[in-house]
Amino acid sequence: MTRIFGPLLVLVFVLNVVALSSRPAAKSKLKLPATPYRYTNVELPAHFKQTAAKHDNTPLDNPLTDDGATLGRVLFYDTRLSANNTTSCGSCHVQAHAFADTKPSSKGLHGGLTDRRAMPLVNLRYYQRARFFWDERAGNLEEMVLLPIQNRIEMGQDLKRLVDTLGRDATYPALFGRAFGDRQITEQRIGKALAQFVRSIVSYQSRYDEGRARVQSAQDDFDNFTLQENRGKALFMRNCSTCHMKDGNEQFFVPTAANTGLRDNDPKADGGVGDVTLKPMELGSFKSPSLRNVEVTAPYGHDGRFATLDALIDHYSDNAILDPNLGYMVPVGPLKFTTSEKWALIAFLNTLTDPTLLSDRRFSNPFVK
Amino acid sequence: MGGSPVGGQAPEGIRPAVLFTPAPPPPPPSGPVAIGRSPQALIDRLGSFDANKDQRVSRDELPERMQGLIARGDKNADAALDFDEIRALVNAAASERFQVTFRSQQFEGLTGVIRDLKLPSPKREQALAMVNLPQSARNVSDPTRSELYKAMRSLLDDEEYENFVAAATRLSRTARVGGIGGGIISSSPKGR
Repeated sequence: MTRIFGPLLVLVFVLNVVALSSRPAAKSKLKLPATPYRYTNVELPAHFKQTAAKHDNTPLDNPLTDDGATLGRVLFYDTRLSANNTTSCGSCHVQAHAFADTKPSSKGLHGGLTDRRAMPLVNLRYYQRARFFWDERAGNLEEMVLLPIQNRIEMGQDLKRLVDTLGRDATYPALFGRAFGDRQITEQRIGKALAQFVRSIVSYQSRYDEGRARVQSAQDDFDNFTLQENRGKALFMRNCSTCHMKDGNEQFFVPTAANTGLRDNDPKADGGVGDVTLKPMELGSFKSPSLRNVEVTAPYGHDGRFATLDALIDHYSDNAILDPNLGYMVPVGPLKFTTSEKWALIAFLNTLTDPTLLSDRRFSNPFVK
Repeated sequence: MGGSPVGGQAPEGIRPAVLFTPAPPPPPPSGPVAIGRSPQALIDRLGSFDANKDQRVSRDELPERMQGLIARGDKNADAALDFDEIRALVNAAASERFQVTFRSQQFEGLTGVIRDLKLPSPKREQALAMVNLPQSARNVSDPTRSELYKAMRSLLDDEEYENFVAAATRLSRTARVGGIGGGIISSSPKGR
């Protein structure tokens, strides 16, 4: 009996150990369940599964595991990932807001502000194009998660120093051992674990999903929707789904970066994808987050210029700047929604909120005071 | 969610949009043009980061998200991009092909517009009958001349009619450009 429970007790002790000193979270305890939460084999609704496999960007060398995502969760919320132990990924990517920030610019480790807002992290696993950040400069999630850690404004950490820090910790070697088969800590494994955690953040339990599960087509009226929500859905399908539901993809991603007429006349204004690719036609193009949970991810746009969904829809309806690189409304022009149509659209977009995800303890901060 | 309505109700006091006001043509770009399709615009833009005017753009003069350009284009290994290097980078990228993909929504024309309004019965059936008359497809872009709009005006209430006009106008714009319902421009990820 002791042979069976002995290692288990040691493991429970290890996983509940007080985090090391010299950081603001020093008074926090890492609390993890003895049996890891289940991040794998989640039962997705049928309409979701129809396209999920096709769009899944999980690489063969980093499959999602419960232990891997657990390690990623701990890393995600650990302030030691920043150079001065003040800032974690979760400082700016807030669960209650679909892992977005509520401010146009996020505050970094020394109080400096980023020049773009922190994007929502929901359903990134199913962004088929697998390019990340507003300018799509990261070619996969494993690469993406390491860049903010090293960014001088955001977390300012040196990855080699981080590996040393985690190696001296009482908790991490065991967590890495469970996730990867041995206790070695490397930069690559940090990236893989964080990517697994981010891939595990999947929203599929909204009122939209409940209604969608009971009809044949997304264009059918949903019996759990109000008349206004069904009107908004119809408007969305007719006017917005070309980009936001391309080929029936119910992740609500735009499948490629797009120019939506946000041009700024300042020559040094953010050029988005064009600043990375140096393709003139891509200046002013930005990646679009999934619309799932859009109700809670304000402010909107790469620079957070739209405080509300109301203002965002007004942009598409009336105020988009004519841009030589304009993509989304070529050649139809401004959509000119009526006031009634706008509120119907917003009512529909609010049905994409997934309250379960926003409070799911599997994605919450495991460091508790 | 800031000021957006909760529960889908429009706040009181919001006036409906004015009907029959023709949409003005979009204004031409004004002021300094920061973004354009010409490679020269991009060369000029990168050059604008040369804060100390030494004819080179160094790593520190670029935002961190763009500093990878130095490694891509710094042929003479001086940790900066001179204008020849900038030009070479931009020209190499500009030569890559773009694919423009537009997809139309095949949603039943005016019949679909009526269905989208979610009218109560029998108003819905009456409206569907009107748009299915052979002459209904004519002049949908000009509400002042179309018999269909007059018939709809007599059938629908103010809000329904306003929404019908807006949706039919969008439909007519789509029809005028050959059934294209909007689209997205994509490019090969090559070269990133």
